[in-house]
Amino acid sequence: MFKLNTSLHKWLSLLVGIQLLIWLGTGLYFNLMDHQKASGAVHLRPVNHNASTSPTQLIPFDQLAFDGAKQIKLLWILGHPYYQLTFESGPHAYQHKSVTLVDAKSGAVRPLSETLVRTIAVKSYDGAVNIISANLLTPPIDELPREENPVWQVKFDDANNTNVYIDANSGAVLAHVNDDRRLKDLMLMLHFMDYFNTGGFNHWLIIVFAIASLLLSMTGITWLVERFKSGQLRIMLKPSSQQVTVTEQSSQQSNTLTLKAQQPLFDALAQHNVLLPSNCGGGGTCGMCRIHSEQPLKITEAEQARLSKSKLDEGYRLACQHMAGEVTHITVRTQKKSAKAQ
Amino acid sequence: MIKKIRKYHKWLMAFVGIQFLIWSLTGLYMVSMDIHFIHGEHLRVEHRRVEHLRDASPQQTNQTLALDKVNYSLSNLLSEYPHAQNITLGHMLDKQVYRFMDHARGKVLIDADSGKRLAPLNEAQALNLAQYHFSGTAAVASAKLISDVENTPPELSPRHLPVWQITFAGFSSPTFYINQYTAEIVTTRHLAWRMFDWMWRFHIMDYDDGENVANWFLLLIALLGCVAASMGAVLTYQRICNNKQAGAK
Ligand code: FES
Repeated sequence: MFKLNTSLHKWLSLLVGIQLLIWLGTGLYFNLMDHQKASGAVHLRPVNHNASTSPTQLIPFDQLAFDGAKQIKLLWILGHPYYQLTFESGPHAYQHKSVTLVDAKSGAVRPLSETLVRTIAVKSYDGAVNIISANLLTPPIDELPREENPVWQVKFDDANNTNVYIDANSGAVLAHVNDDRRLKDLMLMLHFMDYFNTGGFNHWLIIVFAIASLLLSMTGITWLVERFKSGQLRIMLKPSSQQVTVTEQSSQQSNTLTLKAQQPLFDALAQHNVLLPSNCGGGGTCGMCRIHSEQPLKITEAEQARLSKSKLDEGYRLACQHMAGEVTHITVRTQKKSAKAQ
Repeated sequence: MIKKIRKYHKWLMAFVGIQFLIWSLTGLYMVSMDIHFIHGEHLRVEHRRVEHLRDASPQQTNQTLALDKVNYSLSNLLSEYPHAQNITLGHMLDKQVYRFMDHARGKVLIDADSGKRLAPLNEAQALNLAQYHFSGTAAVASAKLISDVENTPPELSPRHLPVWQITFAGFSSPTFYINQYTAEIVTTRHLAWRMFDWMWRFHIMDYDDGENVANWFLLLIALLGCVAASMGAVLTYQRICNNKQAGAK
């Protein structure tokens, strides 16, 4: 059980490790970022569209050559009245809509012209800028990945590379996308693992990774609890010491060492240059740091996984699983010589 | 070296590990629940055939405007309310109505047939409207008028006030918020949304109002988490390399 837990923890960390660091890093960015700047709206100012017209100049609804609209809005675009007829729309503005713009004075269908769009874009920008280009884009739109409706893109030559996006159905300014906003969008894309640029976070890739991270956290916490139970996570108040008589198995030489009681035996021995064989560096997973003791020592899960029943009964334990303070006499097989030879 | 890293990884995670668990749990909830479902879009139906359109085609419902029935024209409206802004013609139940903003009067609702200004919704009308647009079959459990900011539940933005809060019976307590002046459903809430909101708060570690990603607590834990996770990455890396070396031998 324990072995499964720790090896699962390692394999999961291999799978999600990099994304986990990305999540943490981008999370820190969101925590620290300047929200005003990151919205891209530092130069955004409202465009005044209203004007007054004599009501009699507006063509009555029943003379409109359209049927089946579910909503009509009187929309002013730069001082000119339009009827915005909505036939189909979703709960969110970015979702696909079926909309027609009609000149409210003549009754003729009149989509936004490029000239109007350019004027709106310039008016929405607080400062003097020049337009590089204006294009009507159809979805998918790179910088507004969720948008499902046609949108005008007006490029400015300002220092921050601002692109103004204008809703082709209403003339409303949807966003100023500049380098600050692009940085935030990149961070969001990384955080949402939106590597296919869908603009959302409901996709299988991130769900799989979220499940894997959940398992990673759970196995990690189980491991910690296990550590705590075996006394390796206790905060020591005063470091006490323990006299331990260590016998080398092959030479049968004995030494009495003064070890720190609240340190894993494995580490405490290492400090006195008694190096036990190990592949996992005291992690309780390699099972190589075997020692022998006549004392009745508790058996941890790691030991159950790594040592056979008979070995345990004989008094073999893993040095990394016990505190130096638990023992007084032990027998070890060191790799002292080979370690020096290396 | 590796030993030290192992030790620090263990000790740091002993402090921030629980938050990693919370992050992955809340994150998993948020990414696996469809955001449109969370918004309660399924609770609401826009189209419903009504009696007077019985002989109309199946696609035609009361949500389609009948422009010849608009007796009170836009010019009538503009001469009576010259400062009207944001005028729309739409529906309230099977009635065709104008909605607009007026400097002096605020949000105004007008019957497009008679031109009469409609009074703010009373309880019976609000109930009727909620039931009409509710996709479920549950009965109404409560109806409450909310008009001041203090009594606004945290799940509703105060800019929508005044609203009728209509809560339906059932496990997820679907709730409709209907603006009293415009008779529009401004928001729908249900259990999954409320849970999402809590998940979000725990995710950004903002335990007071859930609005603020820029809190120092998150900063501290995320920084420690970064260090702890990087050390974890070193341990994993070292493990793989060791295994490779072992394999080569
Ligand atoms: S050092 Fe590997 S199990 Fe003890």
